[in-house]
Amino acid sequence: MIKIIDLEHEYKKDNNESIKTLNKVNIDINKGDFVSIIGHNGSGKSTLAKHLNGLIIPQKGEVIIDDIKVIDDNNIWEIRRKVGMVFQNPDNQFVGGTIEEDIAFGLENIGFPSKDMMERINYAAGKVGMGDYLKRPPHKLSGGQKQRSAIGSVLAMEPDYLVLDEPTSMLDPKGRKEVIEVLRTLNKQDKMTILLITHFMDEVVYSDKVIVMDKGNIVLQGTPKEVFNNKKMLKSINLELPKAAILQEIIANKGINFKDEVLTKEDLVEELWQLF
Amino acid sequence: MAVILENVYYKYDVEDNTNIEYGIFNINMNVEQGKTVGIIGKTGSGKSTLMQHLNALYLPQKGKVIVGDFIVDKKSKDLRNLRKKVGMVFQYPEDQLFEETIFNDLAFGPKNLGLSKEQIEKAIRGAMADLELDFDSMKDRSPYQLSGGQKRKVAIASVLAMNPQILVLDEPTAGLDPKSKKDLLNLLISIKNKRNLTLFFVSHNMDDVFLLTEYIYVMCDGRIVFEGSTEEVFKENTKLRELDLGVPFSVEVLELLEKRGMYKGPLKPMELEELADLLVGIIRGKND
Repeated sequence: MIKIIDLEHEYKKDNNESIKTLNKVNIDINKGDFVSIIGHNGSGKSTLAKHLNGLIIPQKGEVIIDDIKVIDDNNIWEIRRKVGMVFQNPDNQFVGGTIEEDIAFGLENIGFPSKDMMERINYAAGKVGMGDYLKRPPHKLSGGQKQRSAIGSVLAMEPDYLVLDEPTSMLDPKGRKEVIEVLRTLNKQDKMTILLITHFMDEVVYSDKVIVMDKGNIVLQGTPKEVFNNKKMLKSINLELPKAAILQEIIANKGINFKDEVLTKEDLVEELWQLF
Repeated sequence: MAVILENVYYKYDVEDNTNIEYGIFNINMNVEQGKTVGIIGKTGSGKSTLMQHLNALYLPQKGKVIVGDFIVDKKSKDLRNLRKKVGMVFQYPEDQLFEETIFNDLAFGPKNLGLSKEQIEKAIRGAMADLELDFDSMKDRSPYQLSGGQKRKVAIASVLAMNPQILVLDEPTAGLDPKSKKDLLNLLISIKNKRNLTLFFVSHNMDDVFLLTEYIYVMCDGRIVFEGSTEEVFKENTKLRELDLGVPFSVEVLELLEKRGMYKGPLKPMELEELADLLVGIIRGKND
């Protein structure tokens, strides 16, 4: 599991003023969980993500990945084998001339035996539905396909954890859907542990656990329903509820109350059906 | 300024075994001064190529682009005066900030237009005020130290500082969090009204397109496949889905209700308040 204990981080601006981007953050992530982190730009969520594979070394507090503490450059490669990262911009992550080369690049770096390489590439590309596109160069791929390939390249390294920092924010709606579907399948079928950082509320409703961050603090933590139940808190930090939940509120103000919290349009229609 | 496109054609020279043609083909548009039009279509449908014809970053290989008094065709030269009039905000415009201070970043465009010092400052003050950026406290700061939302505003202000009459916005809110997104959209609407701009809005977010625009051109494979008032276009939910485009949230909800036999009316886009009224009406109507 991943354990984050009292993690703090601050950085100094040019004028020597320091800003605390993480403030006593505690999180447990169990193997097989699908955890989402939401929060505004600047809430500390990306800083947190960068701690998980040693892109940032803890200044204070601890990050422990399966009993290995992230302390310094000496154990960073071991940590990076365990925790795969995918970032926001699909174009910044493509190093190969084709998907096949891109996946092979990471494998060559870890000295993966070349006789087994093709098998592993096919496996990883297949997992993200890109098996038929191995010879495609990146400019012939849609944003969603590029981001799925980036996930494939990470999967080829067989990480234990997959951390994605706003992987869909530069994609069109179709691409977003493709990426989220790939993540859900990986979690369900392969029991891959997933930590998804996003500011799309509609993407977190399927997680086991949602963590809400604001100004470097964790302000809410729980199942999606528990979290979205806390409408006051979410509003006070200016996070927008999923559209179906906003609608539920407006309808409640008009005197019609649902039995349960709704998060998706399907939930909403179900509740309306009950009242119909 | 009005914008008219007549049979605009631009084909990319791509070496490819697929025989697919990339570019835009025989585009006709007629956008009156002060209108807000949406351009929608999936990635690769030609939206950006089309927009880059509006300020002659691309010259049409066939046909012409008429912007106010300017007529652009394949032979056009000296397009500086046109480019002043058409402000382009591309995706992630903050990637193009490069000066040490916000003032210098905003002064870059107006300086190139040959404005006087006083005129430059006036243009910058106006642009910053429109984006609710405080001139005195921010002018000497580095753009790199700003939050993502603020950086985006500075980048848009640098386009407005040129005092364009036409504004092209390509996914202006991409990558922003919901609060910054909403704030920026509202600002853009008021800027458009205040400056009486003709606005072209390119986006994948159908709820935003619905909110902002009055007329929509739908693109696929470099062609305009249909067009109409915003309301008319969003009624075509089946067509939009076939083109891999989304539909507004309200339409999705109404479709689900229709499937359950709870709703028979038109599947039209609306804001959440109106949708709530309609849903309450459905429940009350049944139970009364």
